[in-house]
Amino acid sequence: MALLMRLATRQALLRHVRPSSILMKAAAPMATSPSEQAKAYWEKNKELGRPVAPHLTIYKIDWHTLLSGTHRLTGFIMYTGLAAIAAATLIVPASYPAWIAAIKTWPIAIPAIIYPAKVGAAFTVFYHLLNGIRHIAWDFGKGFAMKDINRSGYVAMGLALILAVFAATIVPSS
Amino acid sequence: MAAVTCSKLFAAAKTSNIFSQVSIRLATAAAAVQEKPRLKKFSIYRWDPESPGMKPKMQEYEVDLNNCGPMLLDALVKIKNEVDPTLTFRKSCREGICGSCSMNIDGGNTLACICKINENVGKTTKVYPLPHMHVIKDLVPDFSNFYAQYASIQPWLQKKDEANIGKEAYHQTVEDRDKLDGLYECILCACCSTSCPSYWWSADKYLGPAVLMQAYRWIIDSRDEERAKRLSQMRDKFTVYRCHTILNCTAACPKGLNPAKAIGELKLMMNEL
Repeated sequence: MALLMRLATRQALLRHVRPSSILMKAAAPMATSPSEQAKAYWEKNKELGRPVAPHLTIYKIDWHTLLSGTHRLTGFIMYTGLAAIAAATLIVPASYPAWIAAIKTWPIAIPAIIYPAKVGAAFTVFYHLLNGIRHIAWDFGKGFAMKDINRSGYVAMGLALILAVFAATIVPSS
Repeated sequence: MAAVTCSKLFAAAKTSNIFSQVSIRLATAAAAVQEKPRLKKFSIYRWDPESPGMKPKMQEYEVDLNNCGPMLLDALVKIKNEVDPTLTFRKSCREGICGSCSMNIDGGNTLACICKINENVGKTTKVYPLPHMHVIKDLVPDFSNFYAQYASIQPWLQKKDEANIGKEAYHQTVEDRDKLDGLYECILCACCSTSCPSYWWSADKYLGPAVLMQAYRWIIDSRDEERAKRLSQMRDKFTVYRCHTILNCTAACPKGLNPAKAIGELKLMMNEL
């Protein structure tokens, strides 16, 4: 009987006691679906002022990362470069050949400006093209072994450099 | 008696050139170990939630590699035990199977317990938490979003007809079972996901390599019947297609798995829809 009474009163009394320990306060609100859990995650971390661990500045740049970055950069250069040149021809006076002829009269124009620009432009096109072939292979689920990734990267980069230097030496006959 | 034999042996050894050379070498080696401590510097990311207004900082610790186990986790445990008990990190199995001690070591994500300490004492080893994760304390990141993403792909076997579940075993051919090798071994340490720049910028919408590889694991399971439903859940610009094949994931995986290949196969399967 005493036991029964004790259990009954404890139940009745404890019902009004709110959980107030620090653990309960820190616990994330109950979320039922994964999307709700994810939402609670962003809100909670913002509220607690947690820092985001360093990323871009500390992660090592491997060969495959460098190649990927170069692919995006060459794509960006081609896109904006073409648009910029096209826009410039509308705004700037005198024609494109006239500008080239003008630059060529500068004392060190050929080795210091014209040739590097040609190599750069040719590399941009060739590298994006050759690395694009790697991307097509990956889109078919091929060439994902780490060894193949690095090897195909050497081929794409090497071939692009050789072709760029070769293409820059071509002088069109007028 | 024993002393006599010992001295006799010693005398015999003295007369022999080889024996004396060996004993000298052993003696010098022992002396070198005792004399020269190999002090290695570790620079470790620190942030304490209970110090209001504290900015994250790097703290340097020195460990004598002569009195330390070979792995980075050994150094962390030694620092915590002997130098600074406030240093906080996760660990459990110490043999690369639990995935608790995943962190960024010298720029790459890996498990501290199976990462050998770089013995070049002239170079400071840098240790950070997993990149672009919210930090709970020091090297401990918040995995909640990662786990919620894992739950979202429903990582369990699904049948169209739920009435027959549990009545008999679902058989699989040897070939079909082989397809799961290299996928089921994932320990969800998040080394790959947090090495991925796409995941850094869009962790709210892009699932990341680890979770996508598990999605693939259930999609290609011959016993699972919800392949179409699973694939159609991923039909948007982010969930799968934020992968730009940077391939940091495959390079980072401490278990030697290939999440990039799994995502490549997933993209190929998406064409079915």
